[in-house]
Parts: sequence; C-alpha cells; structure tokens
Amino acid sequence: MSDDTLIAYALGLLDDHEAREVERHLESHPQDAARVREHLESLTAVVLSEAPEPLPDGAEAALLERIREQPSVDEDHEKVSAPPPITTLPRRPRARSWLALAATLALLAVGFGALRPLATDLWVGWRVNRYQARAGAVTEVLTDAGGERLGQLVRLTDNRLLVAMDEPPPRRQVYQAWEIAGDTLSSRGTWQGRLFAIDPLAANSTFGVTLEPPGGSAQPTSTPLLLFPL
Amino acid sequence: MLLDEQLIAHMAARDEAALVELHRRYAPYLAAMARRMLRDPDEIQQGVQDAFVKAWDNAHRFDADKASAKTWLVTLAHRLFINRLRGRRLTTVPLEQWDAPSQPPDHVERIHMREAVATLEPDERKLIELAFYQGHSHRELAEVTGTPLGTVKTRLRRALGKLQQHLKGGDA
Repeated sequence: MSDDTLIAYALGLLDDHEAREVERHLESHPQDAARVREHLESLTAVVLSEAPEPLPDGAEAALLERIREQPSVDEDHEKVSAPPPITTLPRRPRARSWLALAATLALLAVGFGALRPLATDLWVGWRVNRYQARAGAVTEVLTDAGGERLGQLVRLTDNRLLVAMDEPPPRRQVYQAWEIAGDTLSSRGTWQGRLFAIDPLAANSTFGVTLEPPGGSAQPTSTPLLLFPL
Repeated sequence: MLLDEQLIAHMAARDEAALVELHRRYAPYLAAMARRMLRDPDEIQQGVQDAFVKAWDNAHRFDADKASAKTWLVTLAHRLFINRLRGRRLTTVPLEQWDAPSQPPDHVERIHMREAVATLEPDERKLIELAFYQGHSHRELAEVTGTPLGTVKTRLRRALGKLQQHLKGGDA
C-alpha cells in the first residue's frame, strides 16, 4: 500500500470504507502498520506542540456528571469488552471455557435488554476466575465489622488486588480504596461498579474501602466498610 | 506520578480520579485542537467531553504494551472532531496497534515537539494543518493551494518525514 494512502489514513482523510480497507491491510502488514504508527506519532506531536487552551470552569464536573449518567460500569463492560475471542476458547481449561461461553450468551441477552443482572454476575465471575487462575493467587472473602459478606478479594503474589464487591455502591456514591502503610494513609482510587483492580500495595499494609461522594475524597469521610491487613 | 498508560488502566477499572487526571493533562491540548477544527465554543467543549467519554468507555480496550496513551487519545479525539466537522458518522479507529507506553508530555518533550514542527517549511506546515485540522483530501489540498496533486503528496510525505526524523532525535 502506498505511503500516500497510509498518510491519508493517519490524517483521517479516508471515508469509512477506505479506512476499513486500510485497517484490514495493516493487520497483515506490520511494516505498513509501523509506518502508520510513525505518522500518528508525528501528528500527535503537532497537536501537543500547540499552546494549550484554558478549559471553562466546571469542565471536569460536567465530564464526571456525564459518565455517571451512563449505564453502570459492569453493564457497560459486559456490552463491549473482554471475554476472550471465540477462537481462543478451545485452548482454555474446560470450566473457564464454559464460563466464557455462558458470559458470551449472556452478553447477547444483554443486547436485547434482558438478563442484565445475570450477565453482570457472569462478567464479575469471569474476571475473578482469571485472577484466581494466576500462580500464587489467594482469594479472601471480604466482610464488614459484623462479619457480613461484602465481596471477595483476589491477591496476587506481588500484592496486586482484584476486588469484587457483591453489590455496586449506592447511587451517587463511589467505593474508594485506601492503603494504610504505617502512619500513612493514601487513596488508591475510586470505582463505581463492582470490580476494581489495584496496583501493588506495600507489604504489611492494610487495604480499606469506604463509601465516598463521586470523585472520591482526600481523606475518608465515612466509616470503613472493610479493613483488610495484607 | 502515574504514567498515562497507568491512568487508562485505572480508568478501565472505573477510577474516576484517573479520568480526571488524564483530563487535566490532555484536555487543554484537545481543546486547542478542537478550536482549530470546530471553532464554535460550544462544539469545542462538547467535542472534548465526547473524546474523554469515549476514552472512558474504551479504556478497557487500550493495550499499554502496544499503544502510546497520548497517541491513542489524540487520534481518538481527532477522529471524533473530524467526523463532527464533516457531519458524518464515526469511523473505526484501530486503537490497539500503536507505539510503546510513554509518560505524559513534560515541558522538555513539548519543546522537542515544537522544535520538530518548526523544522517544517511554511508550505509543508500549511498542508499538514489543512489536511489534519480541516480534513481536506489530497485533491482538495491541490485545489485550495493551487498546487499540483503530485506536489501536494510529496510535500506531505516530506513534512511527516521531517517530523519523524526530528522526534527520533536525528537532524531534520
């Protein structure tokens, strides 16, 4: 394919049909794909070399408000992401393949507006299953102070965590993850759905979760739902 | 400070704080791009917001081993803006096949980028801007600039080549 066509593609000049043809070509022509990468990097440099434009007040708040108006996280992921391609299923252990197949079927159902809660459970289960399959992974049940189950946590050998809560946070609240290492308390992010992956925590630290206002808080503003010593 | 790619991984896990941080880093640049392409203040704001919503929705598709976050984000936004400019539906963008992970552009990197753009001759820069920001095809560029089609293609190739050479650290 000519470099002129690749340049036109990178510049966004091609119509949908032409662009799809180029994309199909790139899948089997890594050298041309590398050329497109280079062109896109150059054009990115053009954009980032420009003087930044001040944003209007409230731009972040408006963005957050908009994403919160969308379908919940787990539902959204179920529609568009992650179950492995059908072609890879036969290589996987049988139980996981069946789970992925069931999830795929559930996704189809979600597309017709049905079985959404079931699909959410399958999606969460599929993700937890993938983490549990990693070498050295340990699964712990998360409970509140009264011993009532809140969810589960899969801990990898490098102290990365996958947290799978049984329920999403209440409306207009988010879960916020905390790391307590010695006297230091630090936020490890917020999430709205049931699943949250956390980068490695310090050894011997404590993992905690609170409910916070959207966007999270600098310090916990509510009693921890759970505290989990690592 | 988290790398852009780490922020997107957090976004995939629905971490709003990561989205806010990525927005803080790049929204002013996307807004500058939107101003050149869309011009209307309301459309600029809407376009930038659309880009970050799309990034939020597609964060789980991003592959940090293969893609530069800033190239992914800029291209995603550019495709949205140019389609808004043309008033037609979205095209697909291959989001998975781009370059290596990177840090957000710091001051030094931005200077390097400006230097790269400064290596372009005025006619080369004009062509890049007309094509990239206004979506003019090769043929339209030839008509708009009164330049033969072959010369337009040659100048575009040369311009991108200069940028790449400079960004790679070679003499432009």
